[in-house]
Amino acid sequence: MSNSKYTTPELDFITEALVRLVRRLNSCGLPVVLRDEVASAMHEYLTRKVSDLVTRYPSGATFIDAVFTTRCIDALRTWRAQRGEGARGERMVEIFDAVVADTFADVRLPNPLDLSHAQLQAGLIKRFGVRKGQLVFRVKVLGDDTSVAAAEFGISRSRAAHIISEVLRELGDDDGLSGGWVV
Amino acid sequence: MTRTVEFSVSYRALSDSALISCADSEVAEALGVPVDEVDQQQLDHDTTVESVGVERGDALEHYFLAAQVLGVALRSRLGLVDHVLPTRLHSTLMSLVHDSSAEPADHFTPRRATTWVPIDELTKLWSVPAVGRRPGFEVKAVCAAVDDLSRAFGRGGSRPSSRQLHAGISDSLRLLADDLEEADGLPVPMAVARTARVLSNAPDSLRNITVPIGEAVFDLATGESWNDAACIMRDARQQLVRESHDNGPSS
Repeated sequence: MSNSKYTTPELDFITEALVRLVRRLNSCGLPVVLRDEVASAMHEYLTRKVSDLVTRYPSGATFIDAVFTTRCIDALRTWRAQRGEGARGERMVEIFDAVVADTFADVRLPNPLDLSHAQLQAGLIKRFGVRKGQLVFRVKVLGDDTSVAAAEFGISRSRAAHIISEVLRELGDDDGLSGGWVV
Repeated sequence: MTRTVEFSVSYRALSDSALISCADSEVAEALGVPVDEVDQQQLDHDTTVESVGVERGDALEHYFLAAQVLGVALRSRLGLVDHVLPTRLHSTLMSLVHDSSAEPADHFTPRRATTWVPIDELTKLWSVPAVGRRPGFEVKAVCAAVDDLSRAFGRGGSRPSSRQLHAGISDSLRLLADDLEEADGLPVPMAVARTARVLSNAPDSLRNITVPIGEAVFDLATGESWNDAACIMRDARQQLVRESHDNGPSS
């Protein structure tokens, strides 16, 4: 795919962001009729601001994770207002997926956009996939208990431990990486 | 005269996803009953459908209202989309996906269409099997089998030329295992289509291993038992290990 308006990193950023967005939308409780509006608004925003965003966020997926809840709440408020239910009604955050609460409720990660954490997380996710990367990040970088993290990911503790040791083994094969970031 | 409902269909090529929806009020008007409780259901890891249940005597009929479908083009090549949508909406969506008038380079503009569907077609011609969320032990078994197989492929072929092919298959199987874990027992049609495409490009020398795997992964796109798929994956891994020993440096 080529497009003269955007550089290759910008195109990659937009594509990754939109793929992440539709996946997040598909696993949240937002009414389908609203998802089109959220996707269109995000699409328009990305195409306008990508040159700035690509320098501020390590990946498109990180950007979407950071703004997803806000954008959905905005869309819900607008929708409720249009239906006469009041724009400033209750915040319907409970309908969003558990990942959102998980991301923003962790007191040890006061700023989810902290660059060192974000880059580390993005690097792990890029190399090992979303599930494995996030699991290792939670347990080995943030220091969460393996059982707790495993329960949140819906897998057994032994499976989580197996995944973590497998990732560490692979990282251990790379010179200098294993001791560089694991706490 | 049969009442019709206007649906808007949009397809985004960049994320290969579709959104289909209608106004609740139109359905309520056509059915003659209020649409209060919308039932949102994930049919599989990549498809969400909204419907409304209407009591007709003793029976409860479900009328299709909206859907989000991920991996449309990828899945449609293997016929993994048509069962999740009413026929007329599926045809409209496919015409957008395969729109020959769309600029090939223009992936940024959503393709949109509007179509009118008779209210009867929203229930009679559309049948969705009960969502089959596989039990945890089955998910773990198949995840472990796919993961082991991925690592066996990841150790590479005996010749440098085949290592890249092995690595490609290994990556696609690793993504499949990730998606299976994330889906928590729901079918994963998009990951299956992606894996099947990679496996179909395998060279003849690997066909005896990749063809059974390719057939087995299709079970993971359905709500039926995944035990056979796990078993085939384990056999394939053993065969791969045996062959790599036979073709090793000593032979």
